[in-house]
Amino acid sequence: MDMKFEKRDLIKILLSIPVVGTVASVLLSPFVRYLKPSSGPIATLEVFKTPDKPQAISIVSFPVTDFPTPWSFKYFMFQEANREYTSVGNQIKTIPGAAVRLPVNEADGKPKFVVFSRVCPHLGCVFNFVPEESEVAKGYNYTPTSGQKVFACPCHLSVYDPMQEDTKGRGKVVSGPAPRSPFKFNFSVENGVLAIQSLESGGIS
Amino acid sequence: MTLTDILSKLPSIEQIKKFAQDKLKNIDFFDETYKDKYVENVWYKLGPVQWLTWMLTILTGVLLIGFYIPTTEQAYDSIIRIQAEVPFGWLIRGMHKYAADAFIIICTMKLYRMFICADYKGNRELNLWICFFLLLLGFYSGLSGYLLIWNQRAFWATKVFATFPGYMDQFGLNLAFLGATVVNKLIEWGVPSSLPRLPVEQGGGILLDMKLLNQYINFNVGMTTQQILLGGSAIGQATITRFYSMHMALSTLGLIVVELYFYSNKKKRFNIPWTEGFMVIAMVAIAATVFPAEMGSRADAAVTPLPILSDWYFLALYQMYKYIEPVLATFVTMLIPATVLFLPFFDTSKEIHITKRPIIMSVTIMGFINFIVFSVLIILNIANINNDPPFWVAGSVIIVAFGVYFSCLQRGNNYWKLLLTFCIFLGLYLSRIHTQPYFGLPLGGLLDTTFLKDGAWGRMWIFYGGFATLLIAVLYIEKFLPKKQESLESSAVEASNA
Repeated sequence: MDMKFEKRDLIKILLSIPVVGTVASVLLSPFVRYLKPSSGPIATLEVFKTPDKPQAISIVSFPVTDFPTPWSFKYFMFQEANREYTSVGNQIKTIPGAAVRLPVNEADGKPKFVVFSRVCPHLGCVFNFVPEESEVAKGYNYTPTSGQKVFACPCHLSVYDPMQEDTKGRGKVVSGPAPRSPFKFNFSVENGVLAIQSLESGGIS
Repeated sequence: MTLTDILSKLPSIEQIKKFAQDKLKNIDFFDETYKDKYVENVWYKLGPVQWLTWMLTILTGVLLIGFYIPTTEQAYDSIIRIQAEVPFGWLIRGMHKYAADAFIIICTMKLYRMFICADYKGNRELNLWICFFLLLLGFYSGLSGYLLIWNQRAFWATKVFATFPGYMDQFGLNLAFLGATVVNKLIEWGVPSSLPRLPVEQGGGILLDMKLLNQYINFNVGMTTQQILLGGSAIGQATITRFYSMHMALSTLGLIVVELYFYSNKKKRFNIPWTEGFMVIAMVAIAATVFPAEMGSRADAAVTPLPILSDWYFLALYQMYKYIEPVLATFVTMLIPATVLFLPFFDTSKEIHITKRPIIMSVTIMGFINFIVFSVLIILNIANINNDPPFWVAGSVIIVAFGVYFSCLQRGNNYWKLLLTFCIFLGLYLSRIHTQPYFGLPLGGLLDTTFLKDGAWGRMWIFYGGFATLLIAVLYIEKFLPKKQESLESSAVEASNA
């Protein structure tokens, strides 16, 4: 069999890879950059990146008296301080959330809360708190045990139980394809006010 | 074997050129090279009808541009106006929708015809690629076109469609876990290593620095795709602008290519009698009259309604996303087009008849049954997402296994290879069941996934391994097992008789 490749050819090919790669990325990156708008300046180095911890423009707060009984809940819209550049200018990102009072208390006797982002960590649909057990059984392909109240997503039927924990905290996936529990809001309960300040890192979708 | 030996086995530039030229010589867009073949096989009329429905969609689409307003505030209202106020607006919109649906149906039927009648043989693989890319054009235009209505179904279907590429970024991590599993096994077998390890009570596996790994493996391809598709991280005005322009641009580009092709070789675009063409147009018009195109309710970014479904052609995929974890689901979503595009290249025999090509036949049947069953399950809402997977995985594997079995039979008495193939499929099937806690079988010792916190990684491991085994088995049988001499001769006789 006659030779089709010389060693010289191989060296030429190997040497051309970094050169061609550099030229191609220099030419292509502005194009990709144009197609992919974002909020911050061009941030390739780690130090220039804005911290991925969404802060609230104005803190969402509820008086604790809004949650008179266990399992009473409130929906809210959380507005993020980092604005995102889109074709119609800088836009505020709005993230739907839910605050639920759990049927257990903190060590000091005050009620315990969970505050979840309602953006499903699976594929980004908005899920709901579904306290009605028959509704979960009928619509979400999961039969809760008696007294179990769950969050459930209409798109791919992921069901989250706020009383159980996985490695990322409360809201363990008890049914469906979701890869993790919902993203959590950081909140504090002081002087009878539930104040929601920021969202867990990576929680925008 | 030295490096130069390996290099000398690589194809030369001339061979690659000839390979490409052979394929390009036989290009066929709409069955124009199968002129008059439809007399003996009616399915060869699909090509002209495909062209006709595409043209009908473009024509009605151009008419719709006149009244449509592509903004988030006015899109929905402008469609209502087209539907209710503009004279014959309902007919134009209905025909646009149903002609597009017909285009997708006909592309699919033509792909099946190509697989069943072996139209891709004799250097005609690119014809299948053309038909498949036309189908993808139909899918993308269908999805982008649906968002332009700005209703709830379209909004959430787009959300799902645009979010799943993000999981591509985790493929690298999964491969790293696959590597870690192998290394763990080696350490268990006594291979010395100085890698940092977890304490014994946590399984004793090697320690993986997730953050560091993510920094090196994750190129953000998925997130970039997602942001380029939507023009940001959320669906908004930027999305509607991009979808509106691409909805038209892709069809226009395709049309330019097709017209250049027909201009250069003077072939006829439409081979069948025009009376039949008018019947197709009439069918679309009647469908638009009897079943007026739906509106749905206006899109609302804060509320996902229950139940929420996608367009009919994505229903099966939508159901699959309920069953399996998202990284694997994304992988399968990319695997399906790859299978359609590359399977023909492995079918190198001269056999034409479908029963003489059992692997192709079984994969074709498996794909069709999965599409129908998943669609029916999601429409009737009777699936149980926790208990079903073992059944449909087993079903799919058994159908493909039968193909491999008969392929082996046609190649003589290779009983031990047959046994091996069946063991592979049995192993694949049982290991998949093992990962389903509901069907837990005492097979825990087979796979050591205890050092992984999440069962999903273990399933991923099995899937990559199972898929690689399946591919190697199919390749091995198709390429290297000799066929029985008499079957070759008998088919040659049949071919000469025909």
